[in-house]
Amino acid sequence: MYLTREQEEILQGAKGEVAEKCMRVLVRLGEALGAERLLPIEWAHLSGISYKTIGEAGLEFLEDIKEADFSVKTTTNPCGMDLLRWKELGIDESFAIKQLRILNCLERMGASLTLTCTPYHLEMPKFGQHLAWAESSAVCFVNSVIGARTNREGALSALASAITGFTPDCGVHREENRAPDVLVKVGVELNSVTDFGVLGYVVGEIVGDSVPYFVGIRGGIDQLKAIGAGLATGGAVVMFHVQDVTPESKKYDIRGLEKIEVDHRDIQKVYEKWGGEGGDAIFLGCPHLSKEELQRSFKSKKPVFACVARLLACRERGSVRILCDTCPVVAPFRFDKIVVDSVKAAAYLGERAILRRREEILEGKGY
Amino acid sequence: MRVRVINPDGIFEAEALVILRPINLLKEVDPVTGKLAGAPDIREESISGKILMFPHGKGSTVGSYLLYALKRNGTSPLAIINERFDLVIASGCIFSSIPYADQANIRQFKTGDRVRFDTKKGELIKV
Repeated sequence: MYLTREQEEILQGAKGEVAEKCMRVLVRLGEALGAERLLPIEWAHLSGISYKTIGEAGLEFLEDIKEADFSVKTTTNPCGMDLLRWKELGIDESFAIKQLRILNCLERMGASLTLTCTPYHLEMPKFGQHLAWAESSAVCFVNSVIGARTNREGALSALASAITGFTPDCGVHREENRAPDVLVKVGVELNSVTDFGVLGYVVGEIVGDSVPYFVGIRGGIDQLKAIGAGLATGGAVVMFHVQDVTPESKKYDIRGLEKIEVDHRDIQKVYEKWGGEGGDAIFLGCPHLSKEELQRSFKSKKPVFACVARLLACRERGSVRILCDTCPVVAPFRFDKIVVDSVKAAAYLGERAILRRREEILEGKGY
Repeated sequence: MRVRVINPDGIFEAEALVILRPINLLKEVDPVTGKLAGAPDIREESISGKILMFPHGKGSTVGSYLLYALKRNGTSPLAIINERFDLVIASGCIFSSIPYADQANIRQFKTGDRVRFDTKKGELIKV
C-alpha cells in the first residue's frame, strides 16, 4: 500500500502509541481489502457507545486509549440512557456510572457527544465527501440520499479512522462499487413511513450486501431514511438508488440488471411476524426522528416516547414524551412488550416488539 | 494448508478449538475467564491459549472490544483463524496483537489437534 509521508510518520509513532496502533489497523485492513492507499476523511461517526452493548470490555478499552485525540470531526451514536432523566426512567445508578465513564473518555478524546444515530439531521454531509461512519442505517442514508461516501465501518475501524483521520480506499469510496446490481420493482403502494422501512427490510433479506435500484417509489428524506434502516437491518446494504429521486440514480443504465419484485404480501408478512395486542410502552424514532417528524408526532392520541437527538428536542406537547441521547434498542428498559413504528427497532427487540404503522399509532388505532 | 495472514506475529503451536458455526464473541465469551459462557452447544469450555477456528463472526460490531479485553486479561486465544475475512474480528485482533488469518479450510482440523501456525510462511499444519 502507498502511504503519504504523514501516514508513514503516524505509523512510526509520531502521534503516539494509540495513533500508531490505529494506523496499523487501517493499513492491515486496507491491504486485506485490496486498497492501494488511505483516504483522508472529514467526519467519523462512532458506534458502541452504550454500556449495555459494549460492557466492561468496551469501557476498559476506552479508558486505556483515552489519552489519544480524535483528529477529525467525530460524532457518536446513542448511549444507554437519557442523560437528564435516566432516574425517572428506571435506569440503575450502577449502569449510569459506567455509562458516564464511557462518555467521559469519548469527550476527552474530542468527540462531540451528539448521541444520535441520525447525525445527518444535525448537519448534512456533502455530496462526494469521504466519511468513516459505523452506524449502519446512517451509512446507507448518506451514501444513497446525499452521495457522501462511507463503508459500513465496525466500531473499532471507525475509531481508528477518527484518531488517524484516514480510511482505506475501498468499497463504496470507489466509484465502481457504487453501481446498482439488482433492480427492485415495487408493486405496492406505500402509505406509511413504516411501510418504507418494511420494504427495505424485505429487500435487504433478499439482496444481502448488493446495491439495489428501486423503481416505482417516491419519498422524501424521512421515507428514504426508513428504507435505508430497513435495508441495513434485513441485509448489510451499504447503499441504494431510487430512480429519479436519489442523486446518483441517473448515472446508471439499468437495462440488463437482475430483477426482483416486491408486492403487498411481502410487506404484510413482516407486519404479521411482529403482530400482537397491547404493549407496555410505545416508542417512535428508530432511527431518531427529524425535527419535522417530531412535530408531527405531537398529534398522538396515546402516550408515546419520541426518540431524537438532544439538539433537536423542544418543549413537550400533548401526550408525547421526548427521549434524548438513547433509544429502546440500546437502553436497558424493562418493558415486556414495546410497540414500535420501525422494523429496525422490531428486529433488534425481537419477541418484545409489536410493529405498527406510525399513522395508526398516532391515531391510537388497533390496540 | 496455506492461509492468508492478516496479523502476523511469529510461529505458534497450540491445541486447536474448532467451532463450525459463526460466533458472536460479545454474547458467547466471558472476557475475564475466556470461557464460552453463552454457547451451550460447545463442549470445550475455554478459548484461552488455543488456536481458535470458526467460519466468521456474527452480531455486534462491538466484538472487537471483546478481543481487546481478553488480551488485556491474559485470557485471549493464541491465534484466530477464520474462513472468511471479518472486519470486526480482524480489527480487534490487530488492535490487540492477536495473530489472525483467513481463507482457511477449518474443516481439515478437529478440536484437540495440535496445530502449528507459521505467520511468516502463511502456513497452518497439524503436528
